[in-house]
Amino acid sequence: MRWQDLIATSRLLTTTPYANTQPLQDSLRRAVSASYYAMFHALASSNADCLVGTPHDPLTEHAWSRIYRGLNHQAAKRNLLQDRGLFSPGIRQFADTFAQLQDQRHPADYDPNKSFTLFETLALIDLAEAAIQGFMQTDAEERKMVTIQSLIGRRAN
Amino acid sequence: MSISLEVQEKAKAIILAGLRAQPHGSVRFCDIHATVRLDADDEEFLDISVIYDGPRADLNFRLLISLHDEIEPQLREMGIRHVPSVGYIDKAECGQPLAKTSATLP
Repeated sequence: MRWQDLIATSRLLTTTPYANTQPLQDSLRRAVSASYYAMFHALASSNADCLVGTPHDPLTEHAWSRIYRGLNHQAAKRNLLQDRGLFSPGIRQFADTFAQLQDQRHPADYDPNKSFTLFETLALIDLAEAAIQGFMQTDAEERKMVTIQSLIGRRAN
Repeated sequence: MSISLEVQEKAKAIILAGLRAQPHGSVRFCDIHATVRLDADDEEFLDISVIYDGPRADLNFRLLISLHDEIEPQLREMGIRHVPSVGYIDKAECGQPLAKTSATLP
């Protein structure tokens, strides 16, 4: 899954085929959810690329998929926010936005009383995209540290 | 609710001041609402809705994603450790009926 495609999907969900009509509330919910998933898959993909590189044989393909699939939503959020002060602004802003989008994704998917306006939804998509772009501009060495931070939680002494 | 109304009011003031310190063209941030919600780990966080007036194209999302980074020390001092979730709503959308019906022609 490409994060760019998920952002494009989010935007598509905010459009309607006819003038003077509003997108369905459920379309806006799906758009919010997909914009969070764009962040999630951008992180999963970066993790696999930074730790394994481009897969070139069955073993590296297996390792790449394993790192990609190893990302857990709640643990990633918790781990990224721990020690956030160690990272550069691009990573800190990605971590903050990831947490915000995840907290919007849950009501978008599960809370029947939550509703989103069109511009509110578009702003969440734009925030996700800006955060991913900033994240991708940080150097690969720091993103490798993010991989470790996002995948491995702290242990009690 | 462990996030008191007093803390919510202070957090709203910090967030609004942080936003107003950023240049966003002719956009004005006019109002802010806070709701205490639970995240997937059952931890409380502030769900913030910021009402703005002006063209959406003037909003600089690169700056908006830096907001929490700028105000985090002040929020932490008040005991708010969970990143508030900030949404941006156009003033013109306030009070509009939400879309609950089909997107096809009436």
